[in-house]
Amino acid sequence: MPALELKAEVEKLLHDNKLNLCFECGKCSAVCPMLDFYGEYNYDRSPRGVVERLSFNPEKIDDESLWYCLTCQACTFFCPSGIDFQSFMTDLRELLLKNGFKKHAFFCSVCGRYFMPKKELEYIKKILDGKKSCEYMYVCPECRKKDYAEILHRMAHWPKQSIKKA
Amino acid sequence: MSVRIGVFICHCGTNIGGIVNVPEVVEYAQTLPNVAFTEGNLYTCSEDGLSSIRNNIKEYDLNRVVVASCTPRTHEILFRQNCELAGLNKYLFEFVNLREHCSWVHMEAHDDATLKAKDLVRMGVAKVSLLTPQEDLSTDVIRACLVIGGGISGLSASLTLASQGYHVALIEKKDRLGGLLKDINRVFPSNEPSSHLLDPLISSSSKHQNIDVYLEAELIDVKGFIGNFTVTLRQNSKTKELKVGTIIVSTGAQELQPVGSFGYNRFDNVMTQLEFEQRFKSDFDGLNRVVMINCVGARIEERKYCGRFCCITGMKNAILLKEANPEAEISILQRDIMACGKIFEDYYRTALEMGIRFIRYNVDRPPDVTGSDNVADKVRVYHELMGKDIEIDVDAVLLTTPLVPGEDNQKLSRIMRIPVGNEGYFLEAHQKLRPVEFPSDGIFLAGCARYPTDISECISQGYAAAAKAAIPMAQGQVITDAFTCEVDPSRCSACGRCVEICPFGAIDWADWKDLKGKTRSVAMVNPTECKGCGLCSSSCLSSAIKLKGFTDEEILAMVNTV
Repeated sequence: MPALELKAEVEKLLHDNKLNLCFECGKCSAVCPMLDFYGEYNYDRSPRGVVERLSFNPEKIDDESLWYCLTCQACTFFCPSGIDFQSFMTDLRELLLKNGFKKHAFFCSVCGRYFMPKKELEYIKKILDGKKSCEYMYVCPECRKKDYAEILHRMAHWPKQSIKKA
Repeated sequence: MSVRIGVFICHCGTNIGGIVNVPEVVEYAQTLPNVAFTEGNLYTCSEDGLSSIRNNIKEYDLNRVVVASCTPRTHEILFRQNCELAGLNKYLFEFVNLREHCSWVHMEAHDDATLKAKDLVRMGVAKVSLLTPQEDLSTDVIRACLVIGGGISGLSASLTLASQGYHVALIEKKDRLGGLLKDINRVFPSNEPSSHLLDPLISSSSKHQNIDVYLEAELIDVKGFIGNFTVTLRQNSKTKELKVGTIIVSTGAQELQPVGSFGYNRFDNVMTQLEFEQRFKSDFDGLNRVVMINCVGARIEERKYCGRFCCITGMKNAILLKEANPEAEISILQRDIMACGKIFEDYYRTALEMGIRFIRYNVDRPPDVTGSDNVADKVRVYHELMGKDIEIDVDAVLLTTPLVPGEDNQKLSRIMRIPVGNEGYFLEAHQKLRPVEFPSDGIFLAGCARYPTDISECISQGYAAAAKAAIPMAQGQVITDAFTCEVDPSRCSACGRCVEICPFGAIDWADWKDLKGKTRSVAMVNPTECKGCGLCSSSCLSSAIKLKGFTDEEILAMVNTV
C-alpha cells in the first residue's frame, strides 16, 4: 500500500475509533499496567502518547512504541470519553501486519499467524528465566487448543483402567 | 419615668446553656441597676420566649429590653418586632451576643465563660438604659428607572421593568442599541445569527411606550439617593436632567486588543475572535489551516481572571470553519478548557468529535507565530507531554482574548459612588448573597459590567436587576433604619474626612447658618442613604458626628462597667 494511502488508513482508524475525543486527562496512562509489566514508563508508549503522536505523524508507523500495549482494556474501562483504545490497537496492528510491518511482531510457531508483540514474549521469557519454558509458549491459543483437542480425542479411546493408572 | 429593664437570657438549647451557667447569670442580672425583671429561656426566639417578653413588658411595666442570646445578625429584627408588638419602641432594645462572642469561643472554660457572660450582660444593661426612642424614616420613590447601557443586559432589564409599568430611561453611549452582541456573528451553542436574538429586543424596546431611548448619550452626573435620583446626561451637546427612583448599571465590557503579542498588528491574518467574526460572516474561503491561541492576555500576571466563555467562542468559530469545510485543519492551542455546564460540555465534545485538535501549551513557553512580509504562515508550539516543538502551517491565526472592563467604569464609579474591583469591573455588594446590587441602595448591576458573562447569564442578570429595582418602586416608599449618623453642625470643622470616607456617598456639603448668623459649609448626612456603619463618626476629628444607638455616652457607659 502506498505511503499516502496508509496514512489515510491510519487517520480513518483514528477517526472511526473516536480517538480525537481524547482530552488528555491522562487516566489511561495512570492505570496502564505497562509500567509494572516492563518496569519502565515512556510517554510515547502510553495510550494518550500513542494517540497524540499518531494524530500528528500518522505516517510514522514503523515504530516500536506501537508494540508495547498489552490490550488489557484497563484504559478503555477508565476513559471518561469512552474511547476503546484496545480495539483501536488491535485494528492498527492488523493494518500494520497487512502492510508488512512485521519486525516487532511474533508469530505462532505452528500455524504462523500473529500471536503477540515480540516485546511481550521477550519479557515473559525473562520472567520465566528459562526454567519452565516449554514449546507451548511459542504456540498461539488456537493451535494449543487444537493440540489439546487431539490429545483428548486420543485419550477418549483409552480403556478406563489405564486412565486410572496414569 | 424611671428606667425599668427586662433581661432575657437564652440557653439556645445547649449552645449557650451547655457552657455558660445560665441560672447563675440570670440571678446576677437581677442585681444590676434598674433591672426590674430577669428570666432564663430554653429558646428565647421560640413563641414561648417571645410571648414571655411581651407579657412581662406589660406585667412589669418594662420600658427597656435586653436579650442575651445567639447573634443580632439573624435575630435582632425578630426581637425588635416583638417589642413593637408589645407597644414598646423597637429601638429601646439591646442585643447581647452570648453565643458567638462567649459560649462558642470558650467551650473549654465553663467558669470563665460564665464570668464573661455576666460582664457582657452588665454592659448591655448599662447601654440600654441610655437608649432613646427612635422613629423609622420613610421616603417616597419615583417610579422610574435609569438603565445605563443598551446591550443585551440593559435591554432585558429595560423591557422587564417597562412591561411591569415602570418608566425606563435607557441611555446608550453608541449610536445604536445592542452592545457587544451586535458585533458577534453567530451565538453558541445553537450557532444562530445574533440578530435573531437581538433584533426583536431592540425593536420592542424602541417602540415601547414606557421606554425612552437616549442614543449617543453620556452620563454627566448623578445626585440624590434611592427613590429620588437626579440624573444629568449630555446628548448632542445638550444637557438634560431626569428624575428617577432607581438605577441599573449595565455598561458591559470590551474585547481586549492584544497589541504586540503573537504578531497581532504585524500580520494581516492574525486577528482576534471578534475581528474574525466581523471579517468572515459565512464565507470562509482560503481558511483551510487555522490555529487559535486561547488565553491571550488572560490568566497572566497583569490580568489574572479567566474570560469564562472565550474557550467556547473559539470552539464556536472552529466548528463553523469545520462545518464549512470538513477537510479544514483547525487546532486550538489552549492552557485549560473552560467548558463547564451541560451544554458547553456537550459543545466541547462536538468540537472534539468533528476532529478539531486541542493542544495544550505552557504559559512559560508560549506559541510563536512566524511569517514573511505581513502574512503569518507558521505557528510553532512546545508540546509539553511530547517534550518537543511542533510546527503547524497556517492560513490564519485567531487570538482568543478575554473581555476587559469598559473604559468609562472609573468615571461612572466616581459619579455614582459605586465600587470598582481590582480588575476594573464593578463590584457587587456581596459576591454570593447580593449579586446584582451595589452597597448603595437603589443602584443595581447586570451583565459584563460585573465580570465577563455569556449571553444567557447577561439576560438573567438583567432580569434579576430589574426585579430588584422594581421592589422599592412597587412599594412606593423606602423605610430606613433609624440608627443613622447625625452631624452637629456647630462642631463640624468642615475638614471633609467623612465625605471622603463614607462608602455609601451619604454625606454631602450643606450651608449652615451659625448662631451669629454667618453662613458656612458643613457636612450633612442624608439619613436615607446612611447605613449606620459608623465610619464617619469614628473618623471625625471634632467628634461632631453621632451614630444613633451607638453614641459616645452609650459606648463609654458599656466600657465603664467592665
